Amino acid sequence: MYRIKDILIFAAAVASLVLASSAIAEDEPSALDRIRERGVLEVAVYNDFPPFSYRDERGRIVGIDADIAHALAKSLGVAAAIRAVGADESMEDDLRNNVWKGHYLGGGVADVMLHVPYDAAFAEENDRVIFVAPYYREQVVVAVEKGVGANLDPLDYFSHEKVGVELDTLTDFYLLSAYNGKIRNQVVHFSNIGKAVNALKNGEVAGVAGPRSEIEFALGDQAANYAVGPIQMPGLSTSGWDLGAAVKQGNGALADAVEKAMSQLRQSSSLSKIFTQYRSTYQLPSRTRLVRVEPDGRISQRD
Amino acid sequence: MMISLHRKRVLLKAVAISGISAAVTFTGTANARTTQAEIDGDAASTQDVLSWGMGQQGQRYSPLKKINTDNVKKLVPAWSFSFGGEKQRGQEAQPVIKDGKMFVTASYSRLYAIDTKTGQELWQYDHRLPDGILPCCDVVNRGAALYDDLVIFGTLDARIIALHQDTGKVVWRAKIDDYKAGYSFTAAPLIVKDMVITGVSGGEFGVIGRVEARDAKTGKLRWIRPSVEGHMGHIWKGDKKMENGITGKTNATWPGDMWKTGGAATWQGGTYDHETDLIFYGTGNPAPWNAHLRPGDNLYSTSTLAIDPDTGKIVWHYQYTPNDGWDYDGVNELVSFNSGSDKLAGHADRNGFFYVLDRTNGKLKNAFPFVNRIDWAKGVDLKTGRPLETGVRPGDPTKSKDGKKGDVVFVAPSFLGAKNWMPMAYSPDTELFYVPANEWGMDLWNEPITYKKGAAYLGAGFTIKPLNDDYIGALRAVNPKTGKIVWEYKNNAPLWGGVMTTAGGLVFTGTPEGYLKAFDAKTGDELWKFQTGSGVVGCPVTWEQDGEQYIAVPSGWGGAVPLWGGDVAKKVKYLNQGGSLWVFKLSDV
Repeated sequence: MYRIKDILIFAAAVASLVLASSAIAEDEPSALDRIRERGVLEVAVYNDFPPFSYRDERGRIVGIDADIAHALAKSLGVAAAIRAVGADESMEDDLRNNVWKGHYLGGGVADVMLHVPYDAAFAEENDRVIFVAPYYREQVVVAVEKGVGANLDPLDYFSHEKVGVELDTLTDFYLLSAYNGKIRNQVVHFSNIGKAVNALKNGEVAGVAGPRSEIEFALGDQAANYAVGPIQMPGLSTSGWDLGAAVKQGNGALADAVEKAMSQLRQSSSLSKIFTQYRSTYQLPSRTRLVRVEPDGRISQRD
Repeated sequence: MMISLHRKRVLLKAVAISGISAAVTFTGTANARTTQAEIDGDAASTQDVLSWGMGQQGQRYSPLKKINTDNVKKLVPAWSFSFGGEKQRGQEAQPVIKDGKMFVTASYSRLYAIDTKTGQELWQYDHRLPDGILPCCDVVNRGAALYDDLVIFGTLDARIIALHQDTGKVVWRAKIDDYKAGYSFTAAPLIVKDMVITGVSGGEFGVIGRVEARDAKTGKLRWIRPSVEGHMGHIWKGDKKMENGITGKTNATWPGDMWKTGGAATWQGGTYDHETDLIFYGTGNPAPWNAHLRPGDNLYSTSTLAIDPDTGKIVWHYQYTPNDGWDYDGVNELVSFNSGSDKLAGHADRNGFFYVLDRTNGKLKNAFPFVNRIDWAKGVDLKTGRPLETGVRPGDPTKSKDGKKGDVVFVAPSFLGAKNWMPMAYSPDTELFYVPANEWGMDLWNEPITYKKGAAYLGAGFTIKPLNDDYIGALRAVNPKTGKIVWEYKNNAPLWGGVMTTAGGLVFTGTPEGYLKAFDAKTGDELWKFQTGSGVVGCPVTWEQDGEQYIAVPSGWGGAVPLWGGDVAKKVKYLNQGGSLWVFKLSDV
């Protein structure tokens, strides 16, 4: 999972940490202190997950989350080491594997994980981590060819036209059950949104439903030919969700630093620039705390 | 690959000295080859254990009776062997034995060759596992198969590896599938007609199950039979891959394109019956988990498939849990047995029922509960072969209007099953099956807002709960004709190890508390036990060597229970991990 370069960085960091700790026999340093001392912030992102985190043709991990990780690290005055992780069966598993405990196969945890839901009810159930720094609101949308109709009712449309979805997702399950299964036979499953959008471009499906950012990125330079809009999902309590970061419970100073750094990125439009770079529309998280960067760089917060 | 270095050097030296053949230096037994005829006769032969199930029919019965109900109290350790390293976790393997060599697999896809007389290691193979594997259910391996001069086993990264029995060197290797897509392989391979038969593990990622046959000498594919209707099977004529007919009938029991990702993983080992010339392979639960989304029987999930080894075609099937909504995999083994002139087979399912099938055609002959509580069905209709459902099914989370946690449904058995992977045994002497059962249920509820890969998801929550205060595990002697439980042994922790029975009137099995135990096959009286130091979730075997009968079992607590077991996991938290093999024989004094 680590690239050689990362391991070297860690080896150097560990060496410096050992020196530091033998010199200072005081209280245990905080996670933030340790990160600053070793000069590396390790950030977990999902692998194979365009446009958020994926490998480019040279094998580097790039994407929205990767760029945010580098920007956060820069704000903290350190370098980012990106840990690209596989998704387990649930978000709880991912938090356990990557944030607070580590996978039982070994490998330890990252300092911060990105692309973590920012949701009060979910946070209550997961008290081993601190949820901070909401940075984006994801939304389920549908993409169809332009000109299909101004007053398109997607659910009605897809009772006779095929719609592509990513297997084993909210959109998948919703469309399979919508209208008591009326459109079930029109749902075509793909292993990711990229493949579903390719099928749309090739005319194999009439639409694709799924997260906005993934669909927009996959449409790429053909985006102008397609209409992308939110899909009404009657009977479902949510069709959008906020995303933020997670750090291990107990690392309060790190959590605060990440919160502050993310706020600055948001305020300075760095986040929207990153999203634009990956051809995705930036949407503010709904639960953003009102934050202002004072002229002296201080962050003030009003809830 | 890593052979332990000093062994490697010794081997190289031995080869160099002999100059002509390494075989000469290996105590004169290295010329011995495991033939298909020997494998087919494994159940009756006492000098060796060549196959998973101690015979391909899977009875786990040995005709040996030197160790018997009268003298089993004198059973003492002959030797013990440590799997070493820092890698422990669940040790679920069944050893195989041939000509003074034992081959046993351990967690993390390791394989050891051991001198059965001394307990000394001959060589060790540590499969190099790639980063980023996410095995669902612990890093176990269930054993190897012997064929010719090869020992063949599967790995967590979905490879199948054939090693030379003498050296541990790789002779051939084949990729079953892409571990990055969720595939792995942990079952013991089956050898049939000079072919190695395997399935695929990884039922939780929308993979498609299939049974594959490869030339056991080269690893070249001979046929592939998918386990979900609509998928094309293939057969190789020489090097030419040819279509071999679709499994079932497309969209007969699945809506839309859902058969394409329908699950039914074949993650446990199969059995083979030479009398009917059929391979019996079990299939897992259908995908996705929410049964409301896939109305229909969802064939051939939760079934046993009977496959013709020559053609790779399904001869018959029997489905245990149509439109499964409780995660009751149908992968448990089908064990062949004869009753008079009737060719029958027994299967103890996750869903709590014991099934007796006519193994010539898959027709249901008998079905009865082997656990005390079954909520999802009140029985099985012997005429139609279908369950009589009670209607206790989890609700549909997409129907939740308010986004709140849905009603909690309690249902027994739990998804870990009235019996899980651990193989049962059948004694032709007592005509009883010995079933390692567990009494537990589960709370199921819908969670309209859960998250998966950072995205909102419609999930289900579950917690496994014991049904009784004093025990979860129950080793039960089951009469397949009457459906009566003849005797039972209750165990505090869930039973998770294989069972063996012998002509000595004994039944052996292990417990998570660390004991290997011997019971009277007729009465269930506990006659002997030995504390191995860690939980026993492996499969015991027995063989004869220099006129003495030996018994071996791996020890090392782990498997799915501590990872998935809910309230039960809390109950077994105190159990220590381990990694060793214990061998016993009768005391000389």
